[in-house]
Amino acid sequence: MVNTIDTEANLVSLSARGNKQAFGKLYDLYLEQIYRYIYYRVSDYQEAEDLTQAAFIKAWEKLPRGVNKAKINNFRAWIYKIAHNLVIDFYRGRKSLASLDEVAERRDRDNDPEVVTTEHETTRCLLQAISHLDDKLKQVIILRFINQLDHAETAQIMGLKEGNVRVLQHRALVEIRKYYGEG
Amino acid sequence: MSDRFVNDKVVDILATCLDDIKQAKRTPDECLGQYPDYQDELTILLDTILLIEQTPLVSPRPAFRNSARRELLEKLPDNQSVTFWDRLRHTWQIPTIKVERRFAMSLIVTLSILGAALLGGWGVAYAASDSLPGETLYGVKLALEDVRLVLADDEIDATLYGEFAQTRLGEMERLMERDRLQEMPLAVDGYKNDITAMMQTMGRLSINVDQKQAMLRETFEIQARFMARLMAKAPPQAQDSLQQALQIMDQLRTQTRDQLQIDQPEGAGQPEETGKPKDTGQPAGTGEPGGAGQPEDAGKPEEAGKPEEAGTPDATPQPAHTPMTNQTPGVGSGTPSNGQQGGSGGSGGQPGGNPGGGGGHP
Repeated sequence: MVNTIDTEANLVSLSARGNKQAFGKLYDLYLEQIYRYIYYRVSDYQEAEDLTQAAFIKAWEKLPRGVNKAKINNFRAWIYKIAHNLVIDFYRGRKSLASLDEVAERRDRDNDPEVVTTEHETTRCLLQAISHLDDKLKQVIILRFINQLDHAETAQIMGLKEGNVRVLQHRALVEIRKYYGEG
Repeated sequence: MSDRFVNDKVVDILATCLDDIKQAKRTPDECLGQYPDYQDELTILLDTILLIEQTPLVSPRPAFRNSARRELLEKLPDNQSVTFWDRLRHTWQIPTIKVERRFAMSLIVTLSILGAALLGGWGVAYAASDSLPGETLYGVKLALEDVRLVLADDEIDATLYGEFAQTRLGEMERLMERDRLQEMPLAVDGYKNDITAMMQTMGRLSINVDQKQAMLRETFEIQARFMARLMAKAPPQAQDSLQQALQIMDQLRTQTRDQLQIDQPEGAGQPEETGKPKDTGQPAGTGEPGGAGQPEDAGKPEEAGKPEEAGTPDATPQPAHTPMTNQTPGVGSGTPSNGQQGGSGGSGGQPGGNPGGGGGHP
């Protein structure tokens, strides 16, 4: 664990100096997590891919200058925050793109066999359950139980106190349970 | 007991149980046994967690994974201007402040590191100065280099960048000697950045073209000789990396030579003699990599809403597709997780029987 942190600190340091190879390694480390975090919030893999790329590009742009090192001591929390802001942007920009017709249309349009064959019913079920939660509850579920972050880190990413995360976590689980119960 | 009190109590018990289960201090059954009054609700909650954690994880599509990294690295703007020569020409005529430094940290943090190095004795600094890419102290080495840049003016900075570029070459040599070729790209990238920064800083100097030419020629000659030596003894696997470094240097050297010839005035008048004020401000439109700022800035809307996309407000789109899914790693293992990517060891770690047996889906 210590080594991971040290390595990450070095990679961040190198990236801040413009070292793209180092940034590539950070990308490898966090691609899955960030993709998943975005995917469960936008419910569309193409958007999730675009936003994931955008998050890393944004992180790169923000690393070199004007950034207080203290703020990126925890690169993971930092890139999550960037991803979160991009998701907010995404919804602000589209506002209500989420009409069911539109989604259905997109689904028809997209016949990527790779996606279709790996689609998993239980995943879709969970996605639906999560999509009914409000944004904060959604984030807690994704961070805590999908990406397996602890209370402290979840709180840091969400800009909340740990106590609030605990409350939200409880509420989110109750909501999810209700959804499954009704389903 | 009021509902509110019960609720608060459950919130805390749940959180504590989850922490303990994750750290393998208690099993779910032990948690349930410890709080008989809340057993029913806890069972439902833990069961729900299990349900979530047993759902296969979503992962990026392989096609995306394969191409995205390469595309991303290609797309990333260079920290120091890609079109450095344009910038160099620009800065020779227009005053600028020293904003292009490669500072990875604020002055305060940098000085803190310096302070720590002083307090920790020069041993740390000395050990760091010997470190190589991929080693723990390498970050300290870079930070100390940054400290030197912070404390110096442009003229010294130009020399320092040249020196650091030379250091990167030395690192390449030592990596080769230690057969750590996988770290070579880090050193090559570092070399590229330092040598480019040297050129940029040089461009800002208020010295005449002849002096610049002499400084650059000397630096490039030393580095070219060093690189030739490296190439001669490099194993085949290292040739690519070295070739890249060589190309970068050749490219910069050629550009510099050509440009200095173009900029060389027929008479005595040099660009710096045109009365440019020294480092007083940021030139407009210098091509700063876009909008560096705090992470919070990312929250600003950047895309215009599409007018035709009217729909239900606040609705999250229904799942369009589920990309690659993996089996959740954590639940079955009962192994404590450190929360790392794809982390295993979920909160509902199941050994000994999970409450409710990880119920089925609706």
